[in-house]
Amino acid sequence: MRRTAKRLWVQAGIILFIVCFFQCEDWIDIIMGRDSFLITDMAFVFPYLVFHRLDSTEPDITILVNATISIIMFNILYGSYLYDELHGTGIYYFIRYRNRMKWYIQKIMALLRNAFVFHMVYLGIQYIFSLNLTHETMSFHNFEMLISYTAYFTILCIMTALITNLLSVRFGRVIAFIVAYAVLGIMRWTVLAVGNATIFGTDQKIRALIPIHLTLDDEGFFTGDTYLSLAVAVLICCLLTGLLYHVIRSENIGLLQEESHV
Amino acid sequence: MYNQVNEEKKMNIIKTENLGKKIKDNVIYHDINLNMESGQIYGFVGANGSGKTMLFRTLAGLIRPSEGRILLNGQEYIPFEERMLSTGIVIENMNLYPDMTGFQNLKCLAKIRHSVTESDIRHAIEAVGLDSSDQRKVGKYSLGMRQKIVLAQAIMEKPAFLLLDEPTNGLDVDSVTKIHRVLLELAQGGSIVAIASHNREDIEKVCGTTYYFDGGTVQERN
Repeated sequence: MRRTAKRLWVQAGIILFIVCFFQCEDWIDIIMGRDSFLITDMAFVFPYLVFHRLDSTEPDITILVNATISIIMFNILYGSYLYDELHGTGIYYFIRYRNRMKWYIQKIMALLRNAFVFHMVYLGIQYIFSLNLTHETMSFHNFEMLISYTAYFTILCIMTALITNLLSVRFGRVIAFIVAYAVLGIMRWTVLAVGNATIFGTDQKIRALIPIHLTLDDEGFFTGDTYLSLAVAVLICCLLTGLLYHVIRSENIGLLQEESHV
Repeated sequence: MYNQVNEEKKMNIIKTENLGKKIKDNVIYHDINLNMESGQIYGFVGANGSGKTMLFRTLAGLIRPSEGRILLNGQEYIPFEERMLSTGIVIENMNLYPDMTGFQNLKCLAKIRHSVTESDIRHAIEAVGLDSSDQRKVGKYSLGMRQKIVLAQAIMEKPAFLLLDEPTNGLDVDSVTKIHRVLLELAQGGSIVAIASHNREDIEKVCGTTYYFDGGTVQERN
């Protein structure tokens, strides 16, 4: 619990730093009379502020770009989480478990819990700043959206963390992070450069099957195909969890030093 | 305290048959044939990089052997699926969580098996010469203190099989004597104790049987 609390404080600190940084940028631009900055650049950090309070016309893209920032931040903290345990302190834990399943379930549950809390904090702080800037109060609809987005971002984060951990265990930490960030970078660039319509195709069924996809209705709620995408994402997470367990089950533990000597 | 006999410790025999480990194309060790019985202390002497640590990790079930098999009381032990015996281990360069105290680290580990009480944990810490009420984090410990707390985690549950890789590294003479006394008590209680070291004199003081690593395999001397 103490370790988890410490990690969460670190996360909260990083979030606050970034939010405060953009907050300052925002005020500087307002003072200097460059209001357009709010819609273009601030969208990456304050999706709520931009498309709920300032009427941005591209909420899908804003959310997706925002998701990549939070995924990267979460991945820095948890991308090699299982790998570090496997080759470090975990050795004294493994020796005490009857098999590796119990250890693995505990770690996955911790990942799930931390991802959820991370996004509640991340989105919550953004929302508080948005309210502060616009002097509006939070409605029930806003609260519902906060929960929906948290669930959505949590799944995306877990998926990325699972892939990075899987690659870390199999190929090492450096390769894993390079691959993960290259994919995230391509995703972000593609979304910005090509545009929402092109990247997700015109076929609604194919579009819904892409796990990183979401669509909002006029009220700001997820539409039907977004929920299908979420279901696909959960299924992919389950498959990744099974695959990662399979790798960990047959992995030689704590071998890195010896391998480097050989 | 450490010489109590329990059901699990009664007459266990661990054998290895032609055990071997390869990483990529490099043979780490090969044709290892051991025979270890309850109540005995076994020494493994070899130069750095001779394969002692890898053999211990294999015996602990942390890594899979490339060839051969391990037998417990005549039955094959399948690593990764089940622990054959309660096992304690000390591996070189493996630290506990640096942001917790020694006692907190051991308490976390003890929660897994639920076989020891807080007073057992404190006793283990004191048995290796540390203060159980020390509030410093493990990250602030000296090399010798880290070695001691890792030793304490290995002995606190009085395991039936104890694997210690260079357990007295960085310890002063008094501490070494203390640790040897605890190991002898554990052996009296029926544990199988295996100690690896590059220091032959250190091993011969406490071990009844010593295996010498030579050319990737071992030779036994009583």
